[in-house]
Amino acid sequence: MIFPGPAEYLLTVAVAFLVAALSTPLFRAIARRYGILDYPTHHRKIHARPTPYLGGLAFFTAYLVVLIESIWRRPELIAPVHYPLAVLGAVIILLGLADDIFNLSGAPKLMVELLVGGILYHWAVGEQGLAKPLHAIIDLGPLAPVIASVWVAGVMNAINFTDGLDGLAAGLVAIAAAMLLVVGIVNQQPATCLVMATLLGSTLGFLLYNFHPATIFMGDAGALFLGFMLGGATLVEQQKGAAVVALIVPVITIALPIADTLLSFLRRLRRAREGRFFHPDREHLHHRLLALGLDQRRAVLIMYAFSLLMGLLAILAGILPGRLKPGVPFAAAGFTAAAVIWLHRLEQRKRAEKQEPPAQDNRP
Amino acid sequence: MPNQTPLQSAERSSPIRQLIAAWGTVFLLFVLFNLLWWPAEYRRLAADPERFPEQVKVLIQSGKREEAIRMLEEGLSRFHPPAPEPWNAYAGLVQGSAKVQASLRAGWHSWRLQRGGVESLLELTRKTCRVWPCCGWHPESGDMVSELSRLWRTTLDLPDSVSLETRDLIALAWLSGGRTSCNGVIGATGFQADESLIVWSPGADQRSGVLMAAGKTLYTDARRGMHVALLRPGLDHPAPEFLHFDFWSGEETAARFVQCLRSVPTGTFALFAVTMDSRLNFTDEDEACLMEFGIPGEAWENGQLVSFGLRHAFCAIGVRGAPPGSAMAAWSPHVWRGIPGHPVCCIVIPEHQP
Repeated sequence: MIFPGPAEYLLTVAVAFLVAALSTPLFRAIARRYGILDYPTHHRKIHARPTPYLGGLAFFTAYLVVLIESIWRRPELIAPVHYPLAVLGAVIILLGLADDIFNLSGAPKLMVELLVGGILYHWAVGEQGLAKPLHAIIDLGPLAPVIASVWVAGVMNAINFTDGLDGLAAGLVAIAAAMLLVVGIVNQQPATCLVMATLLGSTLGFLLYNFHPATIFMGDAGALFLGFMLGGATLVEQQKGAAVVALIVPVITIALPIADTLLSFLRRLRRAREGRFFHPDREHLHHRLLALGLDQRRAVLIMYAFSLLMGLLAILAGILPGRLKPGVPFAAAGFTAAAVIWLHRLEQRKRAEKQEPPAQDNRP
Repeated sequence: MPNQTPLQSAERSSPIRQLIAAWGTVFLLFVLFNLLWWPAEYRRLAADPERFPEQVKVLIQSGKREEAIRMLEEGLSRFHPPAPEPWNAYAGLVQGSAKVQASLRAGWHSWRLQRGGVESLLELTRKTCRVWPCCGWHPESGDMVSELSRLWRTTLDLPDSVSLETRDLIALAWLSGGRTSCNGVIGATGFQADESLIVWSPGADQRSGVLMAAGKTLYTDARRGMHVALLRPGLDHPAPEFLHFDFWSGEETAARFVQCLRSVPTGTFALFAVTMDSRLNFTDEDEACLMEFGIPGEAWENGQLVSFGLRHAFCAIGVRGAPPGSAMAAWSPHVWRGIPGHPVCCIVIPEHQP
């Protein structure tokens, strides 16, 4: 197959952008009509007014329209993984909508997410097997579907956790998708490119309404769907005749949500003794940035900047020759650790400032 | 109340109603998507080159026999389908025509894929020998014949009681896409062997290893990787040097491969055979080095040396200094829907033999 040029994917970005930009007001109206709103009733909520959900449907619609447009105009753009992503993406959207309306508990949600990840593996990856990047091919044997579903569910939750400020999750996904699109074009990965171009276009279109002050939220439906697409599309790609999972590049690209998820997981483990593992808290990175006194817009932009840096590292990981690749994940891990430590120090300083009594003027 | 805002009126909607509205929207979108998707998908699948067997059936039904043959030839060479039907269809269509050799080879693939009986295989080798002149070969070593016979029996799942004669071995080498020379000339290198040269690669079949033979000297090895036999003609029956390179073991193997092969003088004969896999760590330098032995450039596909791909069979007989493409090489590189290739064999029979 001849790899379609970058112009082809720019067109996909444009189509997805237009669909998301045009459909978001429609879904906002439906959400308002039926009262599918996020009320600022909980201490974790940052917003002040009830805000419509259903923004996630814009991403889903954009993906479906892009698939239809591609299969009719240029069928060779379509890869076997695209239809399963649409079907299972619909399941994830349904799950997310139920969560937005009924506020489901974490455990059954996680079960469904893992199950969907497993189904995607068997449907779209199957016997092609799983391997590791950085030239070291590892036969994961029966562990492959488990690792695949943990990866997909993990990315879904990572994106969901970051959906706490106006424009944050959509912006982070837009940055990640842009970077993965570049890597996909360089490495000629058509399946990934179409999905990433759609994610990039649809998140940018959605950000017109979701950037601070947001008039619509993507909700769990949108965040889970974005995570599913990001995790699912990176799960399988034909490389050099063998299907491989090059997870390092997406891991670096979404290092920020992943770091946030890991920190959240550690906090939850501490709470697990009290039986509150699945209880959310207000300790996510964006909450902590706000606690430092930043406004929403600044906190979001700082996180965008960090994600952009990680994305550039991911591009390096995607295009560097084999022997240099291993250095990139270490650099990314180093930057992430440094950022978390820097944040921790700022918090300590802030706490110390609060506790310090006002200085007395002892001059005569 | 007439002055209610939309948000206020919406607050009264029950969660079930909200869920029905939200899920209903998704359902509607998804149904619409499928209504538009499937007609295009069916059209795409119908035109998919991998679906050529179905397209051939339509052509045959509509009496377009020549077009069907052309489509089959293109499809078979491009996809190496693991199902016997298209091979069978092609063998049937060209039977009795000038394409008798193509018909025999297609018949062999059909036999291999449907795991046919011994009798039908022997019938095929007999038919081959009627049109293929090399079958009159008298090898120097009886051990080599029995060993090659054992390897074919094992990989083709034939019972031990089956006796494959020399002519069957030659016919099998040719039928499976291997290269055979009846006049001692090694491909188009211009060099001539004065003793029989045989090289056999099992590909992914772990039940057997490679076989290499030069006259009476026999070498078999089941270790993973690339096996090389170096022979220096002109000397009075020198003992071949056998080398083994497991490219999986590390990048230093790739460097050693180049070092060893570049150190041999021009005109040295080299036999190459792969067991399991020999692609990992295989460098551009290794590739260039192989081409210096006349290995054909077609062995590469999209920059990858498909011949040494994961679980692919490859064997070759080349000469140091021969132009690329002039050596005798055979490989079964194409994986089609998860099925690896089949064993391949190259044989050079010296000129003084019939």
